[in-house]
Amino acid sequence: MSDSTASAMGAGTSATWDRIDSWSAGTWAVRTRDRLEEVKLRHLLAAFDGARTSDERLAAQQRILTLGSEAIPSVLAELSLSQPPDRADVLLELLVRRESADAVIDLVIRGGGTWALRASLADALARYVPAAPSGEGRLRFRIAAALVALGRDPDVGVRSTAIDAIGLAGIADEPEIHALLEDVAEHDGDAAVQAEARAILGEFE
Amino acid sequence: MYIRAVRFGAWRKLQAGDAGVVDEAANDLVRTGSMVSVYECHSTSDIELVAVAHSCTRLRAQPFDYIEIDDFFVANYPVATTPGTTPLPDANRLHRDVDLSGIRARDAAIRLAFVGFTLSRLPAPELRVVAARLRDTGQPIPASSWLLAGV
Repeated sequence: MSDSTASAMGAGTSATWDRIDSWSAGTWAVRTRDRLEEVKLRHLLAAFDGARTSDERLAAQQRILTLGSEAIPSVLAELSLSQPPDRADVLLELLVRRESADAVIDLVIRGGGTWALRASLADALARYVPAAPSGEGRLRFRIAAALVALGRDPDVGVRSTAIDAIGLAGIADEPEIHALLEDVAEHDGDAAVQAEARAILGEFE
Repeated sequence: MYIRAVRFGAWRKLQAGDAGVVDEAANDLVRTGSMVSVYECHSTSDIELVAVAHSCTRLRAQPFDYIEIDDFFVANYPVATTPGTTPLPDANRLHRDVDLSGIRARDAAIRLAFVGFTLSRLPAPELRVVAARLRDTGQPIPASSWLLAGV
């Protein structure tokens, strides 16, 4: 990741991300934010927001999902802002279809970004789990480790989303996740997050 | 009572008293123009119908998070009956647009935070059960929806 990108993340202004590193075909590549893709994404999101019927909404959703990996830096910029649930759903789906789990994990490990982006990355990680079955230990372990990091985020919005993501992903039986949940259930500063962790633990005991 | 689908994080933070997230909550409320899309619900059945209607076009299994807004809050603004954009016509009939053109969305979010809202959730497994029941009563839930997968 470039110094400018790293500093933008550190300053919490990831809405201006211009580049993203991605792990693809065995090599790291740096993709620059593509202005044309950004315009396309904005146009398609406007159609999605302005849809007046179910058919229009579904058509707009499908058009967004046809965007390529060049749009991912712009998708991350969108996800740096809080999104309504249906919008977040399609943006996250595009992210997980076009970007590898390793690249998303790397973004988590490097830290920074807005709370909304970190929460979105937790959501995204849960979506990679079905493609990382128990037998595929390395990826599952990396996803779990990234969710543990997000589960200890200082921001309550990120922590609650990460705990949620753990529940949705069904990986509470991973040892490090189990330890996180026990810790959160006991010590988190937010009662609702504690309750969520206890509920997930209860399902596995 | 009115309900509005929201993404958990911002409203969870607002509920926890984080005033710094008001702009993001406002951004959740109004995406285009000055209208806030809500559903008028009179019963748990109405809420379940709206939850399934919203969830059936989501691309992955996920809970339905929403805020409950009291009538007296909405009563401060003009409300119009407008069609929703879900695949379920019965849910679309409950759709309303609250006109916030007289105030900024940010102010509405502040007022909402001040008068109180209830952040609630229907978990994904519960949504599946409700969806199967609604399908059996003739609701046109798309067969391809994750809600009906394996049912």
